[in-house]
Amino acid sequence: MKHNISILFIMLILSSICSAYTLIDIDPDTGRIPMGDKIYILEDRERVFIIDDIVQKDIETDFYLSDQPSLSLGFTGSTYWFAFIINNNTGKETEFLLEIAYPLLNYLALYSFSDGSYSAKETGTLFPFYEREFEHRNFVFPIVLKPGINNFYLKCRTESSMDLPIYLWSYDAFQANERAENPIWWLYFGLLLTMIVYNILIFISIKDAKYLYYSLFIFGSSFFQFSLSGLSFQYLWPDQLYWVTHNIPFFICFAIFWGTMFSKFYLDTKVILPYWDRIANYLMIAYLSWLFVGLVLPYRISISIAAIFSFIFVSSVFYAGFIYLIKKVKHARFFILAWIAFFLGVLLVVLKTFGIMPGGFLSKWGFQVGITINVLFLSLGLADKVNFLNKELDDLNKNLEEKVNIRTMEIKNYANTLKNIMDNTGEGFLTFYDDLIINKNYSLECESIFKTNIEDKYFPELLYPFSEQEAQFLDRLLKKIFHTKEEIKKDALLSLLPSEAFINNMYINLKFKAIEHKGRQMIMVILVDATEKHNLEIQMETERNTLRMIVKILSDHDAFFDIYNDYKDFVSELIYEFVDDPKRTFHENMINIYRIIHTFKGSFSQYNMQGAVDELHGFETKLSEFCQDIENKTKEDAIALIRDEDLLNSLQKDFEIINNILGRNFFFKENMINIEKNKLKEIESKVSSIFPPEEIKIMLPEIKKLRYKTLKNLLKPYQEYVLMSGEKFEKHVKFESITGSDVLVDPDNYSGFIKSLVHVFRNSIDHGIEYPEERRSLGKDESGNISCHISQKNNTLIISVKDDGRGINAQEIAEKIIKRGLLSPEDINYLSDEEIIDYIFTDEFSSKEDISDFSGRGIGLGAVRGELCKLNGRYEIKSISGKGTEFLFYLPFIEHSDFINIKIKKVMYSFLKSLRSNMKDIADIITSDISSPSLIEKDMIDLKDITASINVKNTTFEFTIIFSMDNSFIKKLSKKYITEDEIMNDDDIILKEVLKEELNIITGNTNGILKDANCILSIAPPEIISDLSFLNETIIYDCWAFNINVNDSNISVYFIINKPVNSPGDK
Amino acid sequence: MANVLIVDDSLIMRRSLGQIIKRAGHTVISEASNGIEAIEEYAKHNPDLVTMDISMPCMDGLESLKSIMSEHPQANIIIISAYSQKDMVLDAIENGAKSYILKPVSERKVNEIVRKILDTQ
Repeated sequence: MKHNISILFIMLILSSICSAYTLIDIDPDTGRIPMGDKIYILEDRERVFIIDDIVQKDIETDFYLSDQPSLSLGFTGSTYWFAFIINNNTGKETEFLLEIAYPLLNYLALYSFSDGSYSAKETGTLFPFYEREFEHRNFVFPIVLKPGINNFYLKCRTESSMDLPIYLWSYDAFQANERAENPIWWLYFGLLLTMIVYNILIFISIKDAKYLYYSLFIFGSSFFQFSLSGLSFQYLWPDQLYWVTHNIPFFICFAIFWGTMFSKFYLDTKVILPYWDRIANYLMIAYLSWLFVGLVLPYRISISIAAIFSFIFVSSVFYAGFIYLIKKVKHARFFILAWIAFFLGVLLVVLKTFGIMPGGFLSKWGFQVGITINVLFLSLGLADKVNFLNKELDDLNKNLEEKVNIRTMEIKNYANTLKNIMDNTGEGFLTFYDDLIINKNYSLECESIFKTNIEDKYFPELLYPFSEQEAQFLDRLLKKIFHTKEEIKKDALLSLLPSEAFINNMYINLKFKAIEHKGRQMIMVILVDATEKHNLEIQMETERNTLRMIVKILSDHDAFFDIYNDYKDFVSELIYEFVDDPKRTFHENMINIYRIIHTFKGSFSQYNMQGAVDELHGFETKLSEFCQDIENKTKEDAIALIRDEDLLNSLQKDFEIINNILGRNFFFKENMINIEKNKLKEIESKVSSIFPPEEIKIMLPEIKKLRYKTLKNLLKPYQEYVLMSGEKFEKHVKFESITGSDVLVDPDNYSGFIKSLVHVFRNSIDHGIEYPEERRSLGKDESGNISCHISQKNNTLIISVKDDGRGINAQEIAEKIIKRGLLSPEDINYLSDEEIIDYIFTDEFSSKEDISDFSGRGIGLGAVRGELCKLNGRYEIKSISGKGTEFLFYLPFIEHSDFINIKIKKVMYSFLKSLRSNMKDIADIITSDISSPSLIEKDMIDLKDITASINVKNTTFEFTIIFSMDNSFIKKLSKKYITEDEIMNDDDIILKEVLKEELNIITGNTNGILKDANCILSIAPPEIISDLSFLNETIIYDCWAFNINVNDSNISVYFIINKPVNSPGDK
Repeated sequence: MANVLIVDDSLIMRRSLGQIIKRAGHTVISEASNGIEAIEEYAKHNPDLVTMDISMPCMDGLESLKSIMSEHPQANIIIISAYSQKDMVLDAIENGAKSYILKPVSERKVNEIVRKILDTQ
């Protein structure tokens, strides 16, 4: 067999010589020969041939000559046979190396012919690495070339792509190449390893997952290439014959999986390119699955799909980068450059893998170059991104700084604004800690209040510079507040702080707030200047006081003049006698004077004569000082002291005020008051406008009373009228006096009636009084007499107008009634004389036949009746024929004229006010209108179920308040104190206690309402009374009753005035 | 819920306060009508809370308060004052009173203060 082959070979050689076979010529200079296009190829599709079959084949016809410089046949299931002829022209036997530079080929066998026989060498990934004859990552066969023609056959079967970059090397050239190429490889992998480690370190340091993904991506690609270069088989898994090929799709999938992941994060596609992001997610799932599935599938399938995936991967990231480039996302430019490089690299590999691209430099190194560029660019990109981020951070910082600046400015502005606001609210704000020293930041207003810089000032002293006592109290109180932790105590103490202070002639409202500042207790004080308001109030009060003074003096002028005259007497004469009263010691005398002056002061203060009170108060002080030093004083000293004081003029100030208001014409003509009516009206309207309703109620009648006139005065004009009318009627009439009561009435109330009386007088003159001759013949005085008398009975005023004329003849009247057709004669018969006479007061009646212009229009006396009706009055006619007629008019006395001291009224109204507010406190009790008091007799006091009394005193008066209620109402009141169940027991004691306590509280609060220091009542404890026997021993000056309706019940309140004020007035 | 001692010379005030305190769910453990009684009753019952009228016969509220506080520094005493006499109230608080209530006493105010005091316990 061997022999046969050799024969055949010889033939072949011969024929080759003859027919010009393609030979690979070598000579002594030959270093490296790429053999791709010098090889004859035979495809054994059925994989049935053995070498013996092959040598039978004719190279010329059965084989074909390759035309690729780098042999690349793609994926194939066939076995390939390659034949090549090397022509050794060196002339000697030479050793050469045959390298097949693709380390993934499964099976290779080289057959070399020598001496008619052949020897075979096998290699490939089917054999462990260490079995290789020549240890190299690629497949390298050492061959011995005899001079002349050397024939070789190479058999190859592989699942990987059938790539056979086949080279013939001289030993020297091969080693030179190794020396040149190896450092490139190691440099390359070193670079990749560096990038892996570097990015992992960055990841560890900045915890940005992108760097981890990126290093995993490089890790995957590195292993892929390490395997692809055959190095991993050589160094890592020399006997892992399955893994040696299958690790390639595994690492491809690994790399593209992490590459996609990296791209996603690097480009932030989730936000910027969401649809890509979604697709990438699916792709990643595919990559990951193929990573595992690829391991169990035949290599050819797994590598094909992995190659497609890698193409998809590169395209997808390339696409994303491109979109980013369009979108002008800054860091995308490195990304896109990186992937262009990578894309090209992969493209080369893929093309090479599928045998589309012939093996060559680019297809050999393109991928590595691509990866290197990719890694470089991505690293640059990452760095750029870091840069960008840094820049962004810088910008952000700058922004932040700017923002901080702006904010600071804003806060400053805000603080300024706040300070501005604080400074311009017109309110003082100040704060202090527990040392009570005022802090730096206080509002401007504080300075205008305190008139000084208040920083570091001690607050209590600042507030009360002239009152050590108050400052001490405030100090005590504030310190207590600071050192009180208990909220409840603190609240209680805060409520004790002053709400007003008088600072530099200003009334300042104060508000205190306990606040926490920087963990420290602080108190803020808000000060508001309320001076204007206060002054207005004072001004108002002054005006009120002036009016009170005027009204009191005017309304009570008699008593006032008594006091005034007493005072004048005292200060002009008596006082000097008092100094020298021999019955007492000098000291006692001075004390006595002091007491009298004090009494006068009290009296004048009752008339609100503030000027006099101030003057006398000043004098009192001097007297008091004088008395303290009495040992060193003489009577002369005392007299000098009194003389110096000009006490007579003490009232001058008040008189001037009064004169200013009432006019110069006003005043003291003897003890008479002369005042213009319109001035009084002015005062009336003033009182109405500036006093509260309660006081108006009291004061207005007092002023009105000033305008009151006696009825006598009102009737006085008729005296002249009567005289004149008598002359006109040629009658002698006398109307000499109006007698009787001097009762004062409000002319406004009675003027209509008084005017209408003209008819009565006229009638008397016209019809009553006879002519002088007639009177003489009747034995009467020639002059007729008309008289008028005024009397008062209870609340009725009686005016009598009487003449001594002929009287009214009822018969004449009756005739006229019939004549005028007012009544029939029959009807007249039924009437008495009085009834007939009454007819003169009808509108249609006139007793005179000829209607004079003076009387008898028939409306005269009718008008009188009309006015009487208005007043709810009545008349009576008493007529005696020949003797005269008396008209009696009964008028209700509309206003009581009894003097009631304003002070008592004030107390009463304050009491009522207090009572009202006390009743209001009970939710289910609503007070209805509190009626005015009415003056009653003692026997009209009507006690209810339970009655309490309370005695109230002042230096000038004393009275008893009787407070009487029905059980049912007290029960209602009791709800304030106890539950209804307890009242159910009908515990009389409880109800009495309730009434007492109520009366106590109401009376107590009356003091609060009065506020007038001169008025303050001393209140005895309330007592329960069962009858009025206690009154028997007291002199009752006045008794006032209030009836207060509350719901369906009522309360009776009586004021029994036991001791009147020292000016009893009209009484 | 607290045991309360009411000190007031007025029967009706004691009743009134008692009702308010009972309505709020507390117990009126005892009453006293003057300062001396108050000290005795306090010692006897050791109440959680005392309402103390200021002006009373025999011994006034302030003296009684001082005496109770010296024996029982933890005592919760509320001063009931008829007048807004600041000095007196400040004295009372300085001597250990927890708060004060002005007469006329309102249920709302009493409840508010009693609740506040008990809340802080």
